[in-house]
Amino acid sequence: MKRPLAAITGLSLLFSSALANAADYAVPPPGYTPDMSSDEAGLWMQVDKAEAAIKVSPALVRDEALNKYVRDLVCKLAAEHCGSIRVYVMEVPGFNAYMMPNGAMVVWSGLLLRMENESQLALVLGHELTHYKHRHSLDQFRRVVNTSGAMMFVSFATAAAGVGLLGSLAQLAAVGGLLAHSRDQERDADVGGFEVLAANGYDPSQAPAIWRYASEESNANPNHSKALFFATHPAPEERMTSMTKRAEELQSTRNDWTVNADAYHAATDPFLKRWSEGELARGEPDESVILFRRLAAGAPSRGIFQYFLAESYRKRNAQNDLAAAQVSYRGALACADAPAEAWRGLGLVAMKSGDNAAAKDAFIRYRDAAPDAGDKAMIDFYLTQL
Amino acid sequence: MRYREILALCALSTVLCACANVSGNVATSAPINWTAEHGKKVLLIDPDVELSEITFGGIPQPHADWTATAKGFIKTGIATQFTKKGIEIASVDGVTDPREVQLVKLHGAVGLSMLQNVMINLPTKKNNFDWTLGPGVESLRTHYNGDYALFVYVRDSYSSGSRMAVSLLLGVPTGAMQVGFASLVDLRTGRIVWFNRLISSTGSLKTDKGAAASVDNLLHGMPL
Repeated sequence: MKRPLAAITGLSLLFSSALANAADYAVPPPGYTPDMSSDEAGLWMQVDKAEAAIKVSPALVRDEALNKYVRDLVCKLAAEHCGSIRVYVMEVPGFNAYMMPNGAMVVWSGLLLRMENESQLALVLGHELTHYKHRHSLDQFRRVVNTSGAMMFVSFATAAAGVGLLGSLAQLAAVGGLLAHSRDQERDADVGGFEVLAANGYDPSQAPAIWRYASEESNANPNHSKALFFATHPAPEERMTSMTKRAEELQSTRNDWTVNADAYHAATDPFLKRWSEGELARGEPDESVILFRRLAAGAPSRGIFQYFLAESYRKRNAQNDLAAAQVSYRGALACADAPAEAWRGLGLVAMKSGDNAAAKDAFIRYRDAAPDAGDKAMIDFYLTQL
Repeated sequence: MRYREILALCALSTVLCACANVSGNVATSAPINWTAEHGKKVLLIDPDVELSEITFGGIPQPHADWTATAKGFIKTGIATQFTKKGIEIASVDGVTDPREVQLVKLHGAVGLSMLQNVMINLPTKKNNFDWTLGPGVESLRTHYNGDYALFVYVRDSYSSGSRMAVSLLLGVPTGAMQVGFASLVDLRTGRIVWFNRLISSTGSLKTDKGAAASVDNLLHGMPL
């Protein structure tokens, strides 16, 4: 029994060196490219390929005005690093943005749909820029290489000691170490993002809400596997608390904080319908209900969010959802920007509830309001059945 | 990436034979012919090459400088061979036209299937080498004026000193090897007229001589 114990001691020493705190990675100077013979250049070579694929992806949003808006904001936040960062807006529903080590930043349309003003977006962009400046990917890459070495040593040592199980426990510990480190990097990026936000005069009190949105959405979904996200990221509640605290500290340091909601809405408005359709198409109506409820409450005069809220209810179709959908469709139709599709929604709900007269009336109104709709033939068919 | 599975398969086959291993496929139903107005011209689509070092723990760590050097050697080696045959070779790098990008991606998928088929022969493909990218490849021919396109994929890895030691001590393979394939596409029909894979546990792409030997193996049996 002594040999396995010796192996365990050997292990813990090994891990403490392999998984020691991050070496401080110097902020790359503007225009930085790694030395060709370095491991960093190898990492860049691989992400360069991923970036090349993004450049020709059908999901890349090519709209010049939107790209300019996001790029200009990133440039302002990145300051002297502006020239090192390339921004790609991708039409992907989902609450995400990410940074590649070579300076390529990817912003998903699902993020833009969820943010309410420039201040909130600036926080996320500042967070991603911190990943770049602190070279978190390289750090993580080196850890994986070292940890795999550590694991190799473990399986080696435990095989010699005749212990099978220990190998897998040690592997778990090693992977756990990587994930914990990833959470530290996220915290570091949160702090860095906050600094960038405040340095540019954006209202810090806007920031904590982002994490509230994230947790509300994911908590609403009973089927959602949160394991991976929470293994690599701090819990949103933790991030919300630490950001609230930091925001309170900063708030009094100046009195001219900006939010820039108008500029944000002007840039994103033309895409809201398309992005909302993408959100519904994710097939996670539990989350969509929460999202559109929030967006509709934030802009009560906007029919579009009420319409998509109604659509989410109709798709979820849980208890009382059809009634809730009807209320929201009607709410949408009462707005100046009432989408014609709200009539179709009312018709479908009425048809489901067996109210043929109401369904007929709604479908006819839809056909009148949108005579060239792509689903006209389907609606005509419904009308023959009612 | 599914390439990883292929690499694992290749690794297995290398362990079994532990030697340079080449096997080719020629589409006999698609004989070589040239369209006179272009002369004999082949497009070399930007070779997909990556060299890496197998670290202590067995993780391949990509090397940018080795890759750049090897890619240069491979392109030169290919150009030399074609020139000897009196065929002009034109490099097509950094394709950005969306349609052409899709064709290159399509070849990636078809090439992978062909590579798999070399290991586990599909019943429908026995004695029936009839892979095709479809007539849509015509746009590459119109753009670059070549009758054929050559696609090359190579992954090469080298053991670090510590990996070598682990390998010797534990008797496991180092994992270091060369894996690749080349395929020749008729840009008038989309037919893949020839395909060859390269699997070797020896050789180095880091020197011009070593790379030339690998290119020799890779292009072995090409019907041009």
